[in-house]
Amino acid sequence: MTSNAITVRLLVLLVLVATMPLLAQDPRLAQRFSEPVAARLAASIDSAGHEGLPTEPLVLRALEGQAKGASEDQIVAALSRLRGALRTARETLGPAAPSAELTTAAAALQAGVPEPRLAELHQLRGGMPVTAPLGAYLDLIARGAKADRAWSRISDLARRRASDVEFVRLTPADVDRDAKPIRPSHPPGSQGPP
Amino acid sequence: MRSIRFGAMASIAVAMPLAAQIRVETGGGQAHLDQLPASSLTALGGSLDALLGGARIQFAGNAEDHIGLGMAGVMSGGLHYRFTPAGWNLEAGPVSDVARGIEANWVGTLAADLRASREFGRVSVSGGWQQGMTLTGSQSSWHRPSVGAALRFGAVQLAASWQATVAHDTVLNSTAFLTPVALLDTMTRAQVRDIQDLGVRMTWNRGPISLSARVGRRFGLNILPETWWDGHAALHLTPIMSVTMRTGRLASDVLLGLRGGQYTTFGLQLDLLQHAKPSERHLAFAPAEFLRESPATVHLFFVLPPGTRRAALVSDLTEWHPIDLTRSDDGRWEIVLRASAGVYRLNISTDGGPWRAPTGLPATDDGFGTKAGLLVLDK
Repeated sequence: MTSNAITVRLLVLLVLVATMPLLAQDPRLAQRFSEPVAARLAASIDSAGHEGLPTEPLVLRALEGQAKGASEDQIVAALSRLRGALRTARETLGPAAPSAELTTAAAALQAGVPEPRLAELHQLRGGMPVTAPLGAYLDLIARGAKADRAWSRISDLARRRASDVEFVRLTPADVDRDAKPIRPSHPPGSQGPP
Repeated sequence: MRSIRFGAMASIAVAMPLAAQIRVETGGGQAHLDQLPASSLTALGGSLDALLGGARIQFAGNAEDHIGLGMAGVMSGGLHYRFTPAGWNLEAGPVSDVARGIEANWVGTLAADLRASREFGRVSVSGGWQQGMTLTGSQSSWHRPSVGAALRFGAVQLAASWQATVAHDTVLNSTAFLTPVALLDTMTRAQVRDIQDLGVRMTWNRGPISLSARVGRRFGLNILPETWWDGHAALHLTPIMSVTMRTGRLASDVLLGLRGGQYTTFGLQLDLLQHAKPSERHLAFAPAEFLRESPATVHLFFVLPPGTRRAALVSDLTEWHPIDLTRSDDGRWEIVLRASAGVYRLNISTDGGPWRAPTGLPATDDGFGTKAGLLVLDK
């Protein structure tokens, strides 16, 4: 092999290495953002991927920002917060948690579910996915249930190893009914039956 | 037979509380009627559409004054009760039409109306039956079965329909004056007219433009076949103002005895929404609903304020590309999307307004200055 041929092959290799990040960039970013912005967002998303975090929710969050006319800095900040939530979810649920469960848990954390509750739920579920109970909890709150009462009901069901279907069927009325105090059998203040 | 109307219309629609809408329409133009000189016409129309619990009240009427020829008009009304057994949407109730053609007497019909419809993903099917009688005139009874199917492809909807009108007319026996009365059971006899209408319709909504077109063929017993068609285009200039054009050739109304004809109107339409600030309007949204019709699709429904002209959705499920919602026959706005189990963010916008989290779904701060709705699909 001549030295010229070796030089050419080295150059080709260098070009390939240099363009690898570009080739790996999600095409949706290139379609919706200018080249420098797409590169900046791709760098942030790739970095999350190297941590083992799912990248699809990050790409979608960037697209959401673009659809809503957010600035580049706002989108980068939103990606940073989501990456933090995904990281917390993975630390709580463990490295083996599938992407879908991590994504749901991160969404719940960003919707206001405290991290200790996520940890408690994970423990109560004993290895079963937390997707259904988290979804049911968010749904109950959206439909007007008090957060503490809804959580109490969810954790009770999780403690009893309830199936996903039981969580999905929960209604705010169930939560209210369970939270109502039992009517005393004698008037308050009296000594009651001997 | 020739009947051509050409005019300009202006309409104002006002959304009312209790999911009701009132529309008033007025205009004028030229009418060319068969064998008569052209005359100017003025028109005034109005409609009411109200939902009260499970009951729907609809009323519409319009009158045309042809200078030198007289008044013509049609009024229609109905009260339907709606119920939804086993996924079907059923509506039943009485309907009535009253009409007066130029230089003609009033004619009316009264009927019991039953309609059924159901959606299966992108396909919806419908059917109906009307059993009625004519209040005045020579017809005594009639029935009108109908079936239809529609298919959605994104912003396009294609539909096909069939309707039959079977009228039992009471007419004078042609031999009544030649045959001694004693030989006739009755001076009249029944004449059956079986009239069929086959039609196709296409609608397309994208951004500020709405287009729809319909074409059909009428044929049957004791009538001459004819083709009818109509088209409608609307350009929404602002959330409350749009310009419209309608043109078409309507078939005659065989029950009311009104002749068809060709018409073209240009219009300016104003939709006056509820007297609420834009930031408060989303509070009027009824909760969003969703239906898992298969493990791969989700059917989303939104009840939006009366008077909403356009609605669009962005979501993780659309990769944040805006997709127009379609208004269904029951007044809700809907869309079918591909979706597996998971948590998805979404926002909707009405009449070009800001993206909002639909009420009825969990909402979260989206990090961009507003909130996003969360759609949780467990399976």
